[in-house]
Amino acid sequence: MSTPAVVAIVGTSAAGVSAATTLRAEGYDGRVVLLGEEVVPPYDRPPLSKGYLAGTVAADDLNLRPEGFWTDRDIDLRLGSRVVALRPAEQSVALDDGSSVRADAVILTTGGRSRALRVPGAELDGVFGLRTRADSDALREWSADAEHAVVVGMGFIGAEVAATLRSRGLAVTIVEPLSTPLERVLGEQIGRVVGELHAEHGVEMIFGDGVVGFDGANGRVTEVATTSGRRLRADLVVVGVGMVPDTAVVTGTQVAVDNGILVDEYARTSVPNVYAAGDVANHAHPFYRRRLRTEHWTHAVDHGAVAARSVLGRGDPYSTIPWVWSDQYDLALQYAGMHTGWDRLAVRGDLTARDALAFYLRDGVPVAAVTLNRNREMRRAMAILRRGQAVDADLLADETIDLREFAT
Amino acid sequence: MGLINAGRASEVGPGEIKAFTVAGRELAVANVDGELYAFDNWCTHESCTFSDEGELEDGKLVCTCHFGEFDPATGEVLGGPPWEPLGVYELAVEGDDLLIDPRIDDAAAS
Repeated sequence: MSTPAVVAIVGTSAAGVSAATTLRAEGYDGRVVLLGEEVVPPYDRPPLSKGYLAGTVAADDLNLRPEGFWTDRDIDLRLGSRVVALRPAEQSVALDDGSSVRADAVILTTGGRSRALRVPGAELDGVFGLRTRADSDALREWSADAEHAVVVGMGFIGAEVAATLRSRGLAVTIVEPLSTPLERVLGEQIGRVVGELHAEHGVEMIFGDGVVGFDGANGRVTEVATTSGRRLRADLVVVGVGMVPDTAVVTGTQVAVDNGILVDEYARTSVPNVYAAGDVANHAHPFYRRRLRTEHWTHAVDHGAVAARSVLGRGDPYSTIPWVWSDQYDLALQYAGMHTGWDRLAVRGDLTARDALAFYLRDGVPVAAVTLNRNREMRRAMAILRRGQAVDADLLADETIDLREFAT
Repeated sequence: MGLINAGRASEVGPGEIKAFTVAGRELAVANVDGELYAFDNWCTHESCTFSDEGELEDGKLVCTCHFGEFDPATGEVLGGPPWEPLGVYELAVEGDDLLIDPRIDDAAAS
């Protein structure tokens, strides 16, 4: 396999930046073109719902790399360059200004867009999604004059935004269709612990209810209407109901799409010399023996690196255990693994005190783990997940036994 | 300024990371298989300290808040969210005295 003369990377978020820097770290001396639709330099998304939204993280500190980094590494960073079409047969990508860029290999790191609620009033001013730096800027600006925020959905983004807005002094109400926060990931028992934290901080949570529409006056949102007939006062709404992978660029090509761009464990799409990584990629996962589309920061970085090495013919199969952190108020939560249901929870520590490590087990095998203010135990917990063997749940819950004993 | 006495070397057992204040700087000292290293106690990513959240893993220094990974000898970033290298400091042990030069050791930094 010959090394491509030009690698074009479409998308400047964590996965795209990781792919570009990995190409150079691996000694690739061809051309690297990093194309970004946004006009601001590549930035870090996790603070957009936390420190950056709160105003404690400055715009400069959001940059993924310092100024000068790109020229130092001879990476051709092109901002404000939206790729509108992929032309694998012509070995190029087409930009929205009518020009094209040569690309012997393409890595697609286009990420996704906030899922919108298709309900009346969703277009009113004061109704926000949160995905980009511009979204966070607009939300922060609007929140300065707002008093009553309604957050739709209590997944990671919803929970973090609620915590940040509450810390900024707004009254916050969350509307969540399931019965506890983060229920799909954490389950009811641990979801409730997160709910208690938000309740202690004065957040009102409405579970088992959905949003059917927004009302406004003079084009600005004033009220949220719910399925059960509630009408909630709101001068600010954040919709946190997930993301939709942005696959527009492969429309009309042979690149296969199904809930994201389909890639194998080497981040290769169905078209030669076209790769995809990060949020947009629905990737084959050898450890789980199924496809996953993972939306975590570490995944974006690790997967971008895998794609870059595959371009150079040095790929290793990507089989990382998913891991995510979420900081809410003074709670540092981490979650690792993947489950499609579990039958036993093994808890070390005290869930109520939010000082715990819990394992989710299925047929005796730990398949996922969560830490509440126990960051230091997560790496050892992940070694147990990776081992993938049945353990005695009672022993696993026994704090007097060192975690390392379950990983060998 | 040179090396100044920061405390006792025996305070930092194998696999441990302890905080020391040296000439007003908050540093951490790690014991990697008997070898001691001094570096800034605050991770260059977000507000976490190695004395509280740090772990040593196969010779790597890991900030377990967001999995930033550093080389404790050079401060080089080995993985995770941080991109800024960690400040590292010259360290010597005389008897049980832990001696640290509180100026960033640019020679060791990569």
